Amino acid sequence: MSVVWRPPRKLLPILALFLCLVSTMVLVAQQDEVPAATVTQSEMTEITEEVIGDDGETVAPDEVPPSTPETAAVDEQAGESLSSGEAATTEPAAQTLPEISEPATEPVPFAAQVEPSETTNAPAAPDAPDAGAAAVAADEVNKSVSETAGDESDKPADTAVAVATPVAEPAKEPVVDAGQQYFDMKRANVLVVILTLMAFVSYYTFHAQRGKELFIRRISGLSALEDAVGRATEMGRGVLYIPGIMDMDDIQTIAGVTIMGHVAKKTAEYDTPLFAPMTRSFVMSVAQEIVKQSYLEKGRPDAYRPDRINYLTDDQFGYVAGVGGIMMREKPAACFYLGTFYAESLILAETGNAVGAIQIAGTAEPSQIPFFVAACDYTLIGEELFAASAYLSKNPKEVGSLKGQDIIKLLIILVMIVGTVLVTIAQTEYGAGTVFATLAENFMRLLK
Amino acid sequence: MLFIKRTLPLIITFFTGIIMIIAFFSGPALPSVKALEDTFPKWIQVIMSFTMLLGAFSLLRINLNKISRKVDGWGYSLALVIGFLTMAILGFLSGSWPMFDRDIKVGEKYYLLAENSMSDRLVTVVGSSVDEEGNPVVDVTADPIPGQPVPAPERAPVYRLKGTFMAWINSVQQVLFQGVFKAAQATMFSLLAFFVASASFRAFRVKSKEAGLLMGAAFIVMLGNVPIGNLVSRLLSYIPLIGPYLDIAMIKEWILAYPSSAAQSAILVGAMLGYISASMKIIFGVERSHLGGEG
Repeated sequence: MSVVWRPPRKLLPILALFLCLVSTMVLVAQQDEVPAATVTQSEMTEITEEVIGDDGETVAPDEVPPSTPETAAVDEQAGESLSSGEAATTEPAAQTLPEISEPATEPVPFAAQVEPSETTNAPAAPDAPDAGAAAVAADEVNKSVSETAGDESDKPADTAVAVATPVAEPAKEPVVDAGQQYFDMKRANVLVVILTLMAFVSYYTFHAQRGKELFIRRISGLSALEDAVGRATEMGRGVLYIPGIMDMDDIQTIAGVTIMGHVAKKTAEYDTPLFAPMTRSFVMSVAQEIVKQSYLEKGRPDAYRPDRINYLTDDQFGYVAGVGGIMMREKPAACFYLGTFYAESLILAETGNAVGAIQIAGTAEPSQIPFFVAACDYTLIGEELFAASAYLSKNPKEVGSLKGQDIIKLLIILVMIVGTVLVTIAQTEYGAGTVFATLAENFMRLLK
Repeated sequence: MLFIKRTLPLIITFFTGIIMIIAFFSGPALPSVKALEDTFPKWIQVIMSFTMLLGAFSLLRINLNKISRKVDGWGYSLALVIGFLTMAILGFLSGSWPMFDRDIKVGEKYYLLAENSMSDRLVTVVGSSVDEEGNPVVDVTADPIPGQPVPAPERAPVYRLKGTFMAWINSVQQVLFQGVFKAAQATMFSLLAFFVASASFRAFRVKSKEAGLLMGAAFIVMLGNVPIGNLVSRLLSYIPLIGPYLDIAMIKEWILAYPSSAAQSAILVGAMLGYISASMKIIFGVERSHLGGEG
């Protein structure tokens, strides 16, 4: 009896999550190498750009008038009142940053208070005579938000809280010698996504290959594919297929010509003419090969007509004119537009509608989907185009990859929900300066 | 044969894909690997330029075949072949052929092409020199118009000076390109306006709740994009309580910024995952139906 060792496939998702965790820890560890003072408030600065005005209203930084000698006294009074304890009650602690200014001296230019870079370079009023105050202000700027909140009550009475905005130095990249970097750390998150996707895809592919039935929801456009070819056969008319207007280096075009193979099998089976005018000669030769193979597999090599899969032109609107002419002359009963489309999408779909064809379209271009939805009978939206091959072939390897994609989508949704909740909490007065703010900040940094 | 048609492309795809992935993730310490990110797309351009020949031959072969067999609509094929050959010949002739260029002689008259080559004018060469980059340039003056001061000499690159025949070829080519091709292209694009109207007419028929929602949203967005939308907003503002909130332009912005943008992002996320998954399947040879046959 031979013992065959099999890899623990059920552990693959755990392995994937472990990889994610390790990558995340590596990223966080790299970020932590930066001195604490330089990593404070990168995202949160963007989030809380608004400034709390004296009356408690939220005021955009641009709207706050610069201090003038006339208003300096008012500012001073406001500062005094805030420093005497009202600040803690009217403003969130983390959104306030103390800035020391001499009462009744030259006012601090506002730009220096809201611009993080300027603030760090010249933390206090440039003209302020008190160098000690400037040094204290610089220290304050470099403190973390929580520290700042904690120090609020310890300030001297003559300290004016001029601006309540989270001013801090933007987070710096880890100090690593670029010449020694074999891996582009900026792309680590992409690697994490790809590795996780691959792990899930492999797991479900093995699962499907072992005979486990994986459910794929019904995609109307693909289910109607056979009906459309059948309808064309019954009407004694042809089928028109367009795999987009881009070249073979576009993944949508590859998806388009892949589905074309399935359509060609049906047309071969029903002996229906298949017209496929192409906008790229490279796609034409690939499509010819695919259709020829499909006709061979169905035992109808004699029905294959290479001249019906022809090149028209690379020009976008010249191509549309050519296809429009073919439609009007041949009057296909079914039109398929599956691939990358731009402005020509609606012209093609409306011409197809004018000749009374049943139309199935699919693209991952968000700008063209509304046109196809409006003008075609069935539309494959985004990822459905890539799922078509698995849906039609029922090949376990491809079906497994679909399931893997779905799991990743689920993870992305979870990440979005967690991120939204964290950032929302961090923006409230209850969350600012707490662990939620730090978590939200780190979370956003990781996503970047 | 099967090796060349199926196995070899799979091997090339696998290695190319892996190299590109490595290049994408490699850091500055591997400059030669990182450079492949820029080099490979250039290779694609070179390969694609060869496929132009493939397309041209295919186009000519199919249409000449139709003409010779006098199939239905062979006249269109004839028009296509004539147009193809005319533009190809004119394009080749009006291009730059330095090996056949004659020397520019000072004092002779030439046609100076405009920078966009769309027009030309008769000039006399008054001098020649070399510019800062080492390219030959000439000083030319336009023919004086009676009653007007003599125009000052101007400097122009040599390649823009053409003889009478070449200037005529360029004019014909420009007439066909700008006057026929560009105009026809613009005509096709303009058709979109009418197709948008007819497609929206059909799409906005309220057959279901979803279609009703679509129509409502589209109506608001359309209204928000035209001046009458402001007038409607002003009229609506007289409605007590909710009136001030019924600003059409504001609602339009909200629709575009939130529901529409969210839906587009969702489509993009799904599509990107599809991109990655499809690329992986192709690189690892799981999906091979684009090579012909079963995937």
